[in-house]
Amino acid sequence: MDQLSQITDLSYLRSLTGGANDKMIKYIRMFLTGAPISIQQMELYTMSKDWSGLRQTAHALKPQLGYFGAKGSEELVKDIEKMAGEQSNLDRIPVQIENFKKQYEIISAELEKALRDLGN
Amino acid sequence: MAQKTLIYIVDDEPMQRELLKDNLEKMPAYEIHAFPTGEECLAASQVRIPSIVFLDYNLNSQVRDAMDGIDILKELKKISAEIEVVMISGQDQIEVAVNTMKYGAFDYIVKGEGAFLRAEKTVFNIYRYHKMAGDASRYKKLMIFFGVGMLIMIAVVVILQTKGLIRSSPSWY
Repeated sequence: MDQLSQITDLSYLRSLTGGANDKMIKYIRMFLTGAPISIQQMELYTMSKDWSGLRQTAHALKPQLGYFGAKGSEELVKDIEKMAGEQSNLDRIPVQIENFKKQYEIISAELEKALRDLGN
Repeated sequence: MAQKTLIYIVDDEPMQRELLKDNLEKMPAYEIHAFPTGEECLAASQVRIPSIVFLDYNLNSQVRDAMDGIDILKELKKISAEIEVVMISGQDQIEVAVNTMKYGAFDYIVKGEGAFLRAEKTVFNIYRYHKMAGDASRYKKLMIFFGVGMLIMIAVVVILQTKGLIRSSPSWY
């Protein structure tokens, strides 16, 4: 994969774990298990106009993206959280969730590759 | 073997919880337990009172009607005022986190890349604070002990003087 088009950057996670592969694998697996559930929840909350639930889910997901170096995606989720919290630009929320879903596809592919590189 | 200091972590987000737990477990003098809800932490605190609790402010991303961090903080302080609570919050809730200090939180940590290092430093700060408080208490007791001792000595000298049992100036004068 082209290094320049990478969304994720595992250098922070690597420094945090002291380069321990088992820990890296554990965190990547946790994220790959939890993030699709969060995305699904965000879609459901948007459909049911539960802005408090959406804000809370986006809020919980946001720092995890930062730990994987996906700063752009973190900003996107932050935007969703802000719109839900302020109940402003509500028509933009489904668009931003779709944008995030596209980014997540790339993130998950990158992290799956990282798992293979880590020997898992 | 010395008893380990008990630390509880409360965070509803599994990865955040695990990252903090793994990071604090690097310190061998501490026994760490993590809980997804404040209610579980309160139940555990009734059985074994922790020294430190790292407490997320938002705790309802998984369980919608879960108690929030401030309510848990208040309940923990009812169990024991000695429990030191460190609030954890998102970047956008710093004001809320600062406000928790008035309910007795020791400090607050903002989630993000520097949070884990900050958590370690906070544990050290709590240890240092308690050590200093202990030292201050010991010095205070020592000062009172010497003060009372001095008063007793003066009283004895005055009594002996009034009874003429000792002279007011040393004999070599």
